[in-house]
Amino acid sequence: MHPHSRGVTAEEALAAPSAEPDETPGSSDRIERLRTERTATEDVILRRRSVRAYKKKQVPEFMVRRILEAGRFAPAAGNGQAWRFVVIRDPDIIRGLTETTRKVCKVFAWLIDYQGRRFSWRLPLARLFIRARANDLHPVPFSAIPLIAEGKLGVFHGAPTVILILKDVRGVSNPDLDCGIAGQNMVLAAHSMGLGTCWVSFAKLAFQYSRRWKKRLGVGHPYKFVSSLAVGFPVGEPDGMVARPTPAVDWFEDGAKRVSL
Amino acid sequence: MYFPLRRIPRYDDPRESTWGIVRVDADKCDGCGMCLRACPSNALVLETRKARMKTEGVVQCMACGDCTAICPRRAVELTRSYRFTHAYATLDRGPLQRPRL
Repeated sequence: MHPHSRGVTAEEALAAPSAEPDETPGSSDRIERLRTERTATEDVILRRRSVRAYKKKQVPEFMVRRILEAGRFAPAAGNGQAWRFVVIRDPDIIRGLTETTRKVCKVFAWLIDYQGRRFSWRLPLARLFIRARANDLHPVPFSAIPLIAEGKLGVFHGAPTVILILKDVRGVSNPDLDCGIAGQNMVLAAHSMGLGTCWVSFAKLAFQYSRRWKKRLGVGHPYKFVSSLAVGFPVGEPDGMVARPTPAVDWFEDGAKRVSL
Repeated sequence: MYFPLRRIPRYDDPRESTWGIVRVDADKCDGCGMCLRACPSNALVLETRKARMKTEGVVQCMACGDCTAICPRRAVELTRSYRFTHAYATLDRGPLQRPRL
């Protein structure tokens, strides 16, 4: 019998009647253990933090390929796999994308910054922009735009590898969602290997407001930039559990509704 | 895409936009500055070799907790998440809690 097989021979079963716990899915042994122990997968999910400081050391190519494999096997609507990944490990391109993103942020920052008495006249204009692009100019990204413009917030944070996630606009149902699922697969795979990642959607500006990178990187119809991942070895140990709000969850069960935190 | 009909709140008025708060335990903090590097909101400063949240201007902490996770001395704690009003109002998001079993 293969040494790693979970099967137990009759002899072994007789020799050690209380033997190993039953690991089949749904077995009571396995369920009981889950009450007190998280799985390795849960641990990676809960400890994953966005990493914003990377070492210069390049990520070995095989690790990037493994990350891409995690993305390739993500679930997708109708098995459409409406994504395309572009790996960028050329520092000039990463710098260039950063620079274009920064330039666009500079223009935006000038247009929308109404904070401080000197600029309060821009408030009505800013509110108009916010209304038109309510998701992009939500208070959080709104506050990040001037930081990026001033170089106080990095775009790729010095990561040596960047993975662009493009959607195929012809895909099944909602290709953006599929790209998000594939991206999270890649992020979790990377963190399980001791790498750090950060979702960088701000790089969209470099594709939205400039033709240069679309041309240079071949991002044309039917592909559209959805988001990107910064990947690299983290400085320090950024992963770990944090506190988060605990929003109420509605449960419908046994003909009643209860609300749990 | 969201096209709000309600008023757009002022992002710099604490009555309409409240941002996250982290507390740094000055006794534990050794001023290594890792939290400053992890912070996406530029919300922390080092002063006399201790980290603290900025006090000048609007401090736009997005309550990600990355500073709390990276701190090698467990000196940083997230005490409040962010909350906006009007067009960006959220329902009560419940108390801050770490992952539960």
